[in-house]
Amino acid sequence: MTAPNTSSSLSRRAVLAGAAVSTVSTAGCVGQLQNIGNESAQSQLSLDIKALPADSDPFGIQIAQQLRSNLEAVGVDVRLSLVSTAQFTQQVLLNHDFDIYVGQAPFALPPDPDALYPLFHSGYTTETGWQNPFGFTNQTCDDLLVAQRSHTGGKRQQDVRALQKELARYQPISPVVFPDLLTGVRTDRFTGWDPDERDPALGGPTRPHNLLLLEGDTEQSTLRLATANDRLTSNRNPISAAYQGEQSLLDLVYDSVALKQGSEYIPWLAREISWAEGTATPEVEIELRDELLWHEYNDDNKQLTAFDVGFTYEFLQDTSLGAASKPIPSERFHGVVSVIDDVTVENSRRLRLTFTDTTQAVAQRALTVPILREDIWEPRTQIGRQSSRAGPTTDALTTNNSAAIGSGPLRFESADNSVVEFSLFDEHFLWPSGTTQDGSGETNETQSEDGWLFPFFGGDGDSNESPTNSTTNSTASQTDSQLTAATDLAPPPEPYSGVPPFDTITLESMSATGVVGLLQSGNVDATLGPVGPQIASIADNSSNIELVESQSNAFYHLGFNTRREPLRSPNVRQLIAQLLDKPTLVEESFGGYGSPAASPLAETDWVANSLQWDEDTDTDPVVPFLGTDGELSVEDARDRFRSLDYEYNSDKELISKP
Amino acid sequence: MLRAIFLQITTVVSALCIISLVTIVGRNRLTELRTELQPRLRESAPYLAVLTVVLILNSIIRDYTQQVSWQVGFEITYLLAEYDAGIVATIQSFETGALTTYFSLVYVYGYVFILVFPIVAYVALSDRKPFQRLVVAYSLNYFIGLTLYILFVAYGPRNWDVAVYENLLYSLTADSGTVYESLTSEVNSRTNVFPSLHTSLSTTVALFAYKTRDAYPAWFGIATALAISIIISTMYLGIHWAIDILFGLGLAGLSVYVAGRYID
Repeated sequence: MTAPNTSSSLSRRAVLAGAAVSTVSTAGCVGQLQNIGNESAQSQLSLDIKALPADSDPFGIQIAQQLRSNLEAVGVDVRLSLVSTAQFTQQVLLNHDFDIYVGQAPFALPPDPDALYPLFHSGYTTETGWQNPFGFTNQTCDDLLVAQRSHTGGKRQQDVRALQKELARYQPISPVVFPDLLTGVRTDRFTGWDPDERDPALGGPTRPHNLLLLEGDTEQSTLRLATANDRLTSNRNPISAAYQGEQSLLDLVYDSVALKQGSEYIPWLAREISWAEGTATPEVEIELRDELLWHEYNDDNKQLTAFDVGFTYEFLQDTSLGAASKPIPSERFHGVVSVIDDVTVENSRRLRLTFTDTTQAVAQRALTVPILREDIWEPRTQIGRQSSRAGPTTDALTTNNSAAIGSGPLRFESADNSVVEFSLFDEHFLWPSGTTQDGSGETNETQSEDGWLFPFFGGDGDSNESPTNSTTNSTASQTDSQLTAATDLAPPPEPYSGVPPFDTITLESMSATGVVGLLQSGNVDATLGPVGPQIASIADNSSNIELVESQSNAFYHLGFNTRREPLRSPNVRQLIAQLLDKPTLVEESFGGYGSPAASPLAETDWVANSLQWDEDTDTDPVVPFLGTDGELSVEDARDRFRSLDYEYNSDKELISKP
Repeated sequence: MLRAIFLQITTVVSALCIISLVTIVGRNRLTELRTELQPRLRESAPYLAVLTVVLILNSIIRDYTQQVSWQVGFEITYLLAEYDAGIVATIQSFETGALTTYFSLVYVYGYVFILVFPIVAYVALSDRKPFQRLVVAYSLNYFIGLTLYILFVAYGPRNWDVAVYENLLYSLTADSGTVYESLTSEVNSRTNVFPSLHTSLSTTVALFAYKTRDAYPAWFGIATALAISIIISTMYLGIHWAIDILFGLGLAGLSVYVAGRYID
């Protein structure tokens, strides 16, 4: 399937259709009534801001409050609506029923620039989830998004820089702050939360895969985590639009073909990943490991095969598997699988993917999707219409997937209103001899030295000499592995082969304040996701609690619904963006734990020079704050609205344009 | 953790009830109860049945109210914040450690006590009517409250603006703070803010205490002081807006009035 590559006239029509659908779906709401009210010439301009309550996110609400008070100061009638995380997904991401939202980008680790494709390409405006919820259409951006998919090196860099500048000029979103992710950890039961040698690109202590690297007394059998995000208690669907973002514990329940480890993709379910050379478009040959099992389901012990992998790629592209007149792709992975052209399963262990006109850098992102078990997901192709979604959808996208049968290192056990429990999956390929059960405390690292004569050094170094550019886990030479069939198991990917010092993980959800309290009182071992900055003083006053700061790419931003007046105008969006004082927000609301930003790629190597935050002036290079030190110059701001042909009535209210 | 706090509340409230029974209700009425309890309860059985049904209904649909509420209800946090007119912020500005402890205890233990004690105390009266009216008023409070929770979705002050309002209940001490949070999230959802049932139920009890002041003069004083403390605590702790309190008071008045009309 190719990317939706519509001509500009077609995409305009698509936008209109999308707008019509979202208008219909909001009929009856107060927002709709307000829009009708605006049709009279003299009514005050009104805007709705959606944000999460402080219990779920103590930071976003503060950005929303500054925006609210500054918009009110310039004469706009503002309604700030607090919505739960589930409602945020539904109202903003599925129904596009919003004017402006304050939220976090769905990236935890530095994203590849192609992650911007589904966010901003006009072909995605009628899709749901984190796929152009803004309804943003811009021909130049479309062209650049397409170009960066097929260019490499300096040319791609040029595309990506130009794209960022264009996005900054048109402001479909306005990046505000890249927060430092603060994680509070207790060191009295587990250690190794923050090894010195860890690459910052590998994320913080509670990045799911990093949990597997913890150290501690094996007597401590339960790792207890607390989070302010309660989505996992009710929804464990890895492919839907649910506001999971990245770095949910589901990443450990579902395996992928490859794992993104910093800037590298290491084979995970695959023992070998070979990219063909000299072909016009990328092609990859995937050979799976031999010892892959699904979590028990109906008491069976089924193998994970290449047929499951092939099925997953077909399914993510169209969850109706051809039954719908138009494909209904996974909301979460549509972007990354859109570059897959064809899937060929050769046998139960091997399959080949061919890609559309793109580069390996973009294509390999498709190898990180969660692999789904065919006999569980195949029956979920039933097409339905839900009030929560604008278009037709399938059971696969609406199911809560409560049993969450995957193949990953963690197996879902149970969930109630506030606690979700997982257990270590003993039969996972990471621990081939079932070390977790012998309880001797012996780790896999020593065993792997006994069992495999050829430790893994990373495939990249040798790859240049081989005919294909392959990344592999079986660094044993071909002849050796053929000679000793008994040791043919590919070694587990480093550094994950050690057995973790726990057999159960519990995740308790509470308010962001409550999460800190749970840590302080010793009821949990670490916090997962955003917590308030008060964690810093608590860590200072306790010898058992440490604060680990890590870089987060889940940047806070304003999202504009460009389908709606007056946000259709880039000038208005720019002006609204200028009502926020980003550096002051960082200091006052984030306690200094964050960096103001002007580009969605600000914390990656791809950031455009002109969009780097200027430390000297401390102002936004494109949308500078209309005021000083957090204090808005109200008259300046009002003048700017006047210069956009807006008028004020005698009550100093901003009048919406007829 | 939750079981521990439930046990703790049960113990504390039982102790308070026993002390109050001896001092307020008195030995004579309690001895009389030995023979009178069964016939009195039997006579009031229909009312108790209604309350039981309402409470069961409440516990069943509580989990769904939030979901339903988002579909059919009105999101009104912004209105509650606007018309609060700084009252909650003013109350929170008096924050001290001692006050936080006092109001947290009142909010958790005092509330349960003020609801439970009059049930026992009124059964001990030879006049059946106060007991029956109380039970009817409780049912009305829950029933109307639940309906309003479905019609209106709103968050409390602590969720609205962290720069202005503090989450004081949970900031108490780490341990009891989180325990109280587990407790309150177990019995109520974050969006069930309008109106304040803490206010309406404790005011209901105080209004009945006024009516029965001849039988229990001391209880009238205690119930009034406790109800006022509970009402202030909901705002002091950043849980309710002043508007929630206002409607809670209205709901109490309505419930007591209707119960009085119904059983006269």
